[in-house]
Amino acid sequence: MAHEFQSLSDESLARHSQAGDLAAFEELVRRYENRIYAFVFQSCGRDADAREVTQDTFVRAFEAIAQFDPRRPFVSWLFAIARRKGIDCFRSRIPGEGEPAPEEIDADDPAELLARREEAQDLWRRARRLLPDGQFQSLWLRYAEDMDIAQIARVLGKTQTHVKVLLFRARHKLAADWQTAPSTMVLTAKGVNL
Amino acid sequence: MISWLAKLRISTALDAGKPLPESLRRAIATDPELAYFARRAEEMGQALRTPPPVAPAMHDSIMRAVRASARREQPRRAPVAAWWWVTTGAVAAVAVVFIWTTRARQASLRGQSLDGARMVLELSEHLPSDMPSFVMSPLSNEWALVDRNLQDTKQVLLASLP
Repeated sequence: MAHEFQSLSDESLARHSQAGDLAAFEELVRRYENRIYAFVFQSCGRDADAREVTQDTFVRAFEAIAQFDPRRPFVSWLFAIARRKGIDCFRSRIPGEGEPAPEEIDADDPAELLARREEAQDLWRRARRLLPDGQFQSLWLRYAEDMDIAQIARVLGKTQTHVKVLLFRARHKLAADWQTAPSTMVLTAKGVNL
Repeated sequence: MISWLAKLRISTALDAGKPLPESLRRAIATDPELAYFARRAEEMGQALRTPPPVAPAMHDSIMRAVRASARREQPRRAPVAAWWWVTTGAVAAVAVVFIWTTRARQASLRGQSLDGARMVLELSEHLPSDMPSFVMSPLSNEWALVDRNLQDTKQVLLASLP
């Protein structure tokens, strides 16, 4: 049964869930649990809080699944719930503080991939330290989640223009910080640490 | 200011995934600050597309919470259905009694419409006390509204008498 669900789109799974199929909802949990956790953890910086918010997000999504419109993307609906659930957690974050993320280390990673991963982590750490919540979340949804501007606007409950400005400010601030501390991270045109 | 706007345009073009317009490329070629921003924004975009890997292993705890929520939801829905049926049944019963009483006496009350109205109004006053409490208690709010409407109607009828 679970195998059968793997080929379905998020929206189809949501429709099954609306009909009371818990196995369909479980497939949605499987698809999004790590992504929601990462989004919340990167925003609030505490593992225990991020776990709690992630769990609350899925419980809330399950309770409110009847209100989901399957013509719209499920991913932005779910992330919007996560953002609302995590608001208190995000606000209590002290800039620059936070536990290191529980990482999954793959020993088979080629050296270049590992270097790129470290570089990305460093940049994300910088972003978390420097940027206010709105800018950081816009950046995360744009790059880590590969959402377009319209989807980000739906998640954050802002206009598309507002999201574009948030992203611009985030880039501007990160680029300026990069300029002041280039020694820790120098990129070539390929985006690899030197 | 012009530089700020140009940077905003570069950022927006990156978001749209479109190539930079020719005018912007010319500006970048002549302005080192713009060139730096464009290069950094592009590089950052490449680097940020690799999010830090996270493996929290929390699937079971999430599903336990979801199942617990599902169990809580089921008994919560049952009383709602029961309540709906009791309310609807009671309203229907009151409506049937009302119509039957009105029609049964229609012939004898023809020409005595005021008496008929008085009877209906009196009936409305007694119904809350005469009907069994298990029928009336769920309808107390609705009944209060009906009663108020009837009282208003009575006032209008009495005021319209010559």
